[in-house]
Amino acid sequence: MAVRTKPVRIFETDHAPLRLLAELERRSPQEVFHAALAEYLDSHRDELAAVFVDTQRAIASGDLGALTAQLAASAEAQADALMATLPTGD
Amino acid sequence: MEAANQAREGELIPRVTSRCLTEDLGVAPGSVDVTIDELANANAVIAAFRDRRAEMGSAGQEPIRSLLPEIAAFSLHVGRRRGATWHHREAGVIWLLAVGYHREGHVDDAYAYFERLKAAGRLLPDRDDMLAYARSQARTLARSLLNDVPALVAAARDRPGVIHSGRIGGRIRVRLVHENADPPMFTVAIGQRLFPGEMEVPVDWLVRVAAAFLPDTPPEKLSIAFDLAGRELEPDEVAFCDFAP
Repeated sequence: MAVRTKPVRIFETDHAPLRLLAELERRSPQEVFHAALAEYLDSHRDELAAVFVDTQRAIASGDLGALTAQLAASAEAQADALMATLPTGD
Repeated sequence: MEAANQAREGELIPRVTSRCLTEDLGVAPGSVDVTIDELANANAVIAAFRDRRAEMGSAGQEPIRSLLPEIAAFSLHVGRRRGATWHHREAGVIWLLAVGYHREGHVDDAYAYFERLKAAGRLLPDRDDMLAYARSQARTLARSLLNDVPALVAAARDRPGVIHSGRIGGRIRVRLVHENADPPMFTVAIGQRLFPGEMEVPVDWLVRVAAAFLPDTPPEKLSIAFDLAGRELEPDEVAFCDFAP
């Protein structure tokens, strides 16, 4: 079965090293990117697991306050993202 | 100010800027965390704003020309008072930006006031407004994870093989299915677009929604799914699965 792909934008400065690694390893740039992402996910598995388990605990105890606090942890980043969408010229 | 009810299909999320609440409507500081329904009960302009804009899913009909082209705000008429409302499309929010009295040709006319606010950079919501909005959404989502998810999971278990759909907190689209294989399998697909609006679901929210649907799954057993009961995922969906207990 063919593997489905989607275009991904990378930093221009990363293009040359990505191509170099791909040619050295005789792999496609997509394969190198995929392997790098898999390694990154593996090295951050603990953070993902912590978020997952914290949520399960709050839900099991029906702790609305704790769950709200967990979900609000990204509020600052969301606020920044929303500010970036405001029209300029105000 | 918290949306008392999660946004339904076609609705916009109503928010009033903190500046508008305190300076224009005389509401006490700190009321930014009060629900829109509580504010509407105490103020006719906010009630009209909720009913004619948010619940109708309408940005408005009468543009305030003096604010164009930078801000496509619309005029809300409530007796002699005029409100400036603005649809923040990316956020899925309709904002009440400012309120004043319409006094044709008068220096204190509402529309002249709106222009002055715009010139001073005080018309649009500020970062504190955005932060309060994001935090209010966390509360709405948390309630939904506790109250709505168990019902969705139970419905899927009652009708194995049938794909069920829902919206968590009115904002995150989910599809789920319980398959009576041997052993039984449960899969949940989570859309990455926040409704209403055009923003993406924060990554930690994706993981937390998955945890709510898979409350007994140890993280090391969590698997990514590439289909939903053999059917293709939507382009923006990420799916998780585990054996059903």
